[in-house]
Amino acid sequence: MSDQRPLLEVTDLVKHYAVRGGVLRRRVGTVHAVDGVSFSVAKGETLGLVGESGCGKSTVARSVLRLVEPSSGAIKLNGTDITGLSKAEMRPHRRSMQIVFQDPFASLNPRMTAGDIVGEPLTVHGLATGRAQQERVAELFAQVGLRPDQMKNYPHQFSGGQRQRICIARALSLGPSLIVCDEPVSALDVSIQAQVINLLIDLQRKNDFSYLFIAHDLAVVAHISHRVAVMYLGRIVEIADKSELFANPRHPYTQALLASVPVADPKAKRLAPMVDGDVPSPINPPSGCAFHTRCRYVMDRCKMERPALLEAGEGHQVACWLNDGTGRPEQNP
Amino acid sequence: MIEARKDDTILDVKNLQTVFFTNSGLFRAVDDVSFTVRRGETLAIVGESGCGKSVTALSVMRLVPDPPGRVVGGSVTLEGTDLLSLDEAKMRDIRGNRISMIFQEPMTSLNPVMRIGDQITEVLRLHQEMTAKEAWAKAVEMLRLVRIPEPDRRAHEYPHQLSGGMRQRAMIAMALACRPALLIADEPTTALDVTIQAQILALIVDLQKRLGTGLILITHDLGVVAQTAQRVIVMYAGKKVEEATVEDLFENPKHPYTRGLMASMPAVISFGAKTDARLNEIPGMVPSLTNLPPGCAFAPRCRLAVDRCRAEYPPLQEIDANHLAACWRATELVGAP
Repeated sequence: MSDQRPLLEVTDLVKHYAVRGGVLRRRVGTVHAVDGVSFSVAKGETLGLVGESGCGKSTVARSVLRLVEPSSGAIKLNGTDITGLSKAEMRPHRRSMQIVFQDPFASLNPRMTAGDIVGEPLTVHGLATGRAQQERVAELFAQVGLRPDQMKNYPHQFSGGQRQRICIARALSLGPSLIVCDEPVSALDVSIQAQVINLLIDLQRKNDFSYLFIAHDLAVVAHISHRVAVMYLGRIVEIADKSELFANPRHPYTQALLASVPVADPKAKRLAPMVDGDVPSPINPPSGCAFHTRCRYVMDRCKMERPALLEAGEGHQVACWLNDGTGRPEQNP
Repeated sequence: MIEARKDDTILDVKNLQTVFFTNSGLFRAVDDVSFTVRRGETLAIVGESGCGKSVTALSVMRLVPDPPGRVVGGSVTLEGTDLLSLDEAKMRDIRGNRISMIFQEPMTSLNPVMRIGDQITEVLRLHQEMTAKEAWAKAVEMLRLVRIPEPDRRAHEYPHQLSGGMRQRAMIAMALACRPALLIADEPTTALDVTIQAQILALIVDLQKRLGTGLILITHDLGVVAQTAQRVIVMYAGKKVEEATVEDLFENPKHPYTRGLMASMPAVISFGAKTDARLNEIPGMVPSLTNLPPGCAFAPRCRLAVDRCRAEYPPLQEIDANHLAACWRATELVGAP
C-alpha cells in the first residue's frame, strides 16, 4: 500500500431500482439500494464491506464490475472512469477485475469440466488456446490447491470448498488487479472457511492484487481486511483501518453490530441486544440519518439532516451527528 | 409416568442409531449417540454440515423421512415415555405439545396462506380443549410474549407481511404455545442478520428460563454455543466425539476436532493480531459417510493421528469429571487450543 493513486475509486455511487405496481406498471416507488457511496481501494489492499442483508453491499460489488448499471456516480479503475464505457470499451477493463460469488453451486456451469470453466476466460479474451491454455489452467489449479488431474471433473464431483477454489482459479486466470469477493465463504463450513480465507490471503501476498471483500460476518471481514467500511441502508456509515474500527468504533450502528456478534467464550456472557427492531425498508428509507429509528442516542437533528461521512481521526471517517459529527466514542470497548 | 425421575431429566436418548439407505449404499447418519436434557437446561449440538446433528433432532421428533432413512436402534425417552415405540397417532399428540421444533428458515415452516394467529390457534386447538375464541386470545398472548409489537394486528397478518426476525418470533410463539417440555431449535438464527440474531437468541434463552423448557440448540456457530448453552455435544461424521459443560469445553477442549474448530474460527476481537495473519485451518474435508475410514473418522485430518487411530475407533471415555471425548490421545491435550 502506498500513497499513489488508488486502484479503485468510487465516488457518489447511487443505484435506485424502480418499484412498479398497478395494471399499467407505473412507478410507485424507488428502492434506494445504494445511496451515495464513496470509497477507494489501494493497490494490494483489502477493503472489507460489511452490513446486514439489504444494506446494498452486493449492489456496490456488482456496480463496481458494471454487472448492474449504477444510476449515477463515478467508478475509476486505475484512473479511468469506466461508468460511461460501452460493452466493447469495457472488455479490456474486465480483464483486470474479477468476481467470486457466494454460492459456488450456482456460479459454475454444471455441464462444463472444471478445467474448461477455468480456461474459458482465456479463450474469451484470446489469451491462450490448446496446449498453452491447458498448461496455464493446470498451473492455476495448483495455485488454488487443486490437483491438475481434477481438471476433467465436473462441478458436482467437487465439495463446496473445492468449488470455491475453482471459482477463485477462474477469477485468477486473467491476472486481475482487483478481485471482488461477494460473501465468498458464507456458504462453507467453519473448517473449510478457514482454508479458503487462508488461500485468499496467500494469493494476495503472492500476486499483490486488491480485494473488495463483501461479507456479513464481521469476524471474517476483520480477519482478512486492511480497512473496513460499514454499510447501513445503502450508505457507508463508518470506514477506518481494521484495528481502529474494531478497537474504537464511533458509529452507534457499528457498535451495535460488534456487540451483537456472539463471542466464543462462555465467560464473556453478554447477549444483550444493542438495537431493537428491524432494518427499515430501503423503499422509504428514514429521513436524515437512516439509523435514527433504531439508534439509542438519537437527537432531533438526526431525524432531519443526513450526516455526511466526515473525518473523525486519522483515516477514520464516520457519518454521525454526535459530538459535532465525529460519532460517539465507546465508553467500555 | 409415575416412576421417580431423579435430577429432572426430561429427555433421555440412548445409543441412537439412524441410517439412510441410498443408491450409493447404507450410511449411518447418527451412530450410537446418547445424551440427556434436563428441565430448563440448554444442550447445544455442534458440528459441520453432514455431521448428523439435524438427523439426531429429527430422530427424536420421529420425523426422519422413511424411506430412505430409519431409526434402527437405541431409545428416546421423553418424560418417561418411550417415543420410538409409539404409534403415529400417539406421536402426533406429543409433537407440538410436549416437544416442539423450530427450523432455520421460518418462511418454509410457516403456512403462507394462513394468518399467523390461525396457525398458532391450530396448534392450541389440536392439543388443548379450547374454543376458537380462547385459542385466538392465547395466540395473541403468545405473540406478545415473543415481543412482536402490536400483537392484535399482527395476528391477522400473513407470513409474507412479516420480516425474517418477526417470522422467527412467530415460529417461537407457535412452538411454545402448548408449553412443551422440550424445544428443539435447529439453526434458529442462521438465516438472520447478526443484530436480529442477538435479539432472537436473547428471546429464546429468556423464555426458556421463564417457562422451564429444556432446549436442544443445534448450531455450527461456536459463538452462539458459548453464549447460550450449559452443556455441549460435538458431533463428527455421525458420532458424538466430545461432551462437556460449556465452560470446560471452551477452556479445555479434549478432542482434536473440537480444538481444530475453535482454532479455525476467526475472532472479531483481534486488535493486536497482525493483518492478514493466517488462520489455523483443519486440512482436508469431512469424509463421505458412505466411505468412512476404519478407525477414527477424523484421523485423516488430525495432526495427532497415530497408527492406532487409523485402525480402531476410540471409545467415548470420561477424561475429566463430566467431560467425555472419543480420542486415543485426548488425555495428552491440555488447556485451550
